[in-house]
Amino acid sequence: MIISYAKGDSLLHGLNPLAKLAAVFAACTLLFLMSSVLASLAALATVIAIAFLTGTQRVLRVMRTKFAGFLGLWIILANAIFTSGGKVLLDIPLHFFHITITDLGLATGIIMAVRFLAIFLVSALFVSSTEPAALVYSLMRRGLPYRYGFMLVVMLRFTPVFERERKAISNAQKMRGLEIDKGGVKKLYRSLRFTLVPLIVSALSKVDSLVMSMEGRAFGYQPVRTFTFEDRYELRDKALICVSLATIVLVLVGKAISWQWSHGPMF
Amino acid sequence: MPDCESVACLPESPLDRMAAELNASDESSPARPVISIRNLSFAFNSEANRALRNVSLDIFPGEFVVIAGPSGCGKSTLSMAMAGHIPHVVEGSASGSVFLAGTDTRQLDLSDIAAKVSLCQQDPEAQFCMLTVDDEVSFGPENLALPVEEVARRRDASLAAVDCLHLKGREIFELSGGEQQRVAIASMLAMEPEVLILDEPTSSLGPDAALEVWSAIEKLRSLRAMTIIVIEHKLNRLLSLADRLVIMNNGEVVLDGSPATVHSQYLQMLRQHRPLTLLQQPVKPPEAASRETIRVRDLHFFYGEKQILHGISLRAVAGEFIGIVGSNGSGKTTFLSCLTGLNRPSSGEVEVEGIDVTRAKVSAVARKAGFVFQSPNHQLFESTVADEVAFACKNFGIDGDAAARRLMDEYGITRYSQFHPLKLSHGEKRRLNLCSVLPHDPVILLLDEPFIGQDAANTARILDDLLRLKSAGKTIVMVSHDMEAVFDYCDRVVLFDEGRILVDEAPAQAIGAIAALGKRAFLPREQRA
Repeated sequence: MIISYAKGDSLLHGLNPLAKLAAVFAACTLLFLMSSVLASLAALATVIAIAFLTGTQRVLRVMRTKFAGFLGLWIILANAIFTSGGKVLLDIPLHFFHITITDLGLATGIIMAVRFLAIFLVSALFVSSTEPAALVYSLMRRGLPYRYGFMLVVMLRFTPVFERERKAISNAQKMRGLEIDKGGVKKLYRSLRFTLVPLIVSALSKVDSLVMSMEGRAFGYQPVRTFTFEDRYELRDKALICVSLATIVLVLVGKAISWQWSHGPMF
Repeated sequence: MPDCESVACLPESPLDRMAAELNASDESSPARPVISIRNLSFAFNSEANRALRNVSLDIFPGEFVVIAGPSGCGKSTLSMAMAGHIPHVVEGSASGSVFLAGTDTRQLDLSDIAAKVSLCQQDPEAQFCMLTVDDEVSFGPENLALPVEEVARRRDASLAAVDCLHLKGREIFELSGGEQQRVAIASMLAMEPEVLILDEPTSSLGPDAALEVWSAIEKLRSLRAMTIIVIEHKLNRLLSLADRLVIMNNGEVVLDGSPATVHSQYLQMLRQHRPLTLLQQPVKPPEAASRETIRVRDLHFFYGEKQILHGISLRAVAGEFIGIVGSNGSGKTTFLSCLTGLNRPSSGEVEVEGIDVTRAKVSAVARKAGFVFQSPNHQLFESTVADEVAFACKNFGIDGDAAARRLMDEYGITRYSQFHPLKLSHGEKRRLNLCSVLPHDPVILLLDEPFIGQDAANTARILDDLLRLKSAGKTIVMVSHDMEAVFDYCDRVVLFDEGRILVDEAPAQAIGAIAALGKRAFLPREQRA
């Protein structure tokens, strides 16, 4: 399942992209610093609830994919096997070493897997509700130099074009008997040689046209330019940014105090 | 509310000063050229291979000038020089001068030139830098740091000038080819230039979309006192619009004058120096054999949830040449892909040389069917022409060296055998594309728009090649917007419309059937009136 922007009129869609970005940072900080299974599960449940409440539950389908399942299982197993300490739950003696699973290892594995899933969902909520160009425009309106901002806009503009061209090249290869999908290292070499080269040639020819088109319309003529893009920045966006920043500060301060409590003064 | 980050007054440029002087000059004096080219020569890489040779040309205010000539004759290079991209963006070795309102373009900033001259390039998709129609058309005025209200006024006025106001709010990738080209023109009009240069604006469009673009240009011509320069291969539609016709050949201006006179001289020149099949009576093809090579019954194809093909049925036999015509997006290319298994049909039967395409691997179908795709560069993979021709045989594991050598001789590309394919001209690349799908001796040839970007001479060469292949018993299925080629050379004309076949007849009968449907854009020029 590919997570991409989908048009909509949900609460999340209506928020300013930068406010959402701040909320994503706050959520990720919170999730990274959580160290109990219950708190992690509560955080995951909160993210799921937000998806339902804001009408963006479409992204929850990612939880049902094989990729999410395998990765979650792998994280739990790897942590359970390689984390030492805690009460031994299972000990499997092998010829050269023992596989020992402890309660601490298992808890760490579950926390890591839930953290991964929650961060993935938070990011998916952001991506599915934020038009990429709107994010770039918001960044430019808040100080990102427009020359850098338009690099991102152009990249977004040409992503589907190059995907279509890659498909056209792949079709031309198939019709002349070249099957790139076969083989390991050989596949990589053939992909590089027979797909990347025509794609780069095509990209370079487009670069010339694009430069002429942009410079021919006075791009870079003025140090600042007009933006007709409507960047909504309402009270709720300001409130979300404040709450997000406060969360990050509170979590970091709380973590520092708890560390000091258990280990003595930091400085 | 949208606001303006900075509303700056444009600094007075050297061009403004020169223009002001020009306006202030005695009105009774003869008109001064808006663009004046003097002894301009230009080479991209080597001096020996000059794209422009000592070109001198004056373009006067309000003129509608058409520049024509064979592929690679320097038309596009000249347009880049007039728009200031040479020498400001495109590197190369140049001598001579281009004056804009009396000032040498070398002394002007590109942004100064951009406010006066706009160049709309051949491929609209490659020049769009924004994601929506509104943003694309507003891009130029925004760069000029104009007030928001002025940006909005120019955007709406430009879209209205090309009848595209209804496209406001649309995403660029959703637009049809004709809409894309008109939005590209609108995005240049928003700069409010004095000179608008259009480089082959309809080269990749179907006849109906091309009509939309020509109508927009006609409207522009009548609405605005703007100098318009059009670079184009197909002249018939333009002759009535143009004030002047300029013919270039081999980097030089060889004819310049009134459209009617120059056009007749140009045709004479072509007849004398290039005996083109297109200008002669086409060779009558031999009767098609009866061996069935393609059989399609009730083919349906969905792309995601959208149905592209609706119950297509078609049959072809050995030695038959079928021309498929229709609007952009009518399902023609999808149909060719379904014939090869590149697109798996959603339902229906597709058989190619007895192979059930719905089940077979693409490689199995590819042994029997050669496919020449639309873009020449997307199908060039090897580092020499010789390896490129032998590429398919190598992949299929068959010895095709002798066949590859024979075909290179036959297609006149042996002398380039050790060249990199990308170094060939557009016409030579097309011949190489065709030559490269033949060494493994496919029974069927599928061609998607083989004439895009080709001049009359190259088109005639490709048609000659196809007739030779037809007489060798190949079944040819060709998608093309070139109605003259389709009606003069094909045994059957198939009209696609919104994923359905509306007409499937011999050319003589197809003319009546298509006219009865009111789809005259898909008729040869002389039948359209």
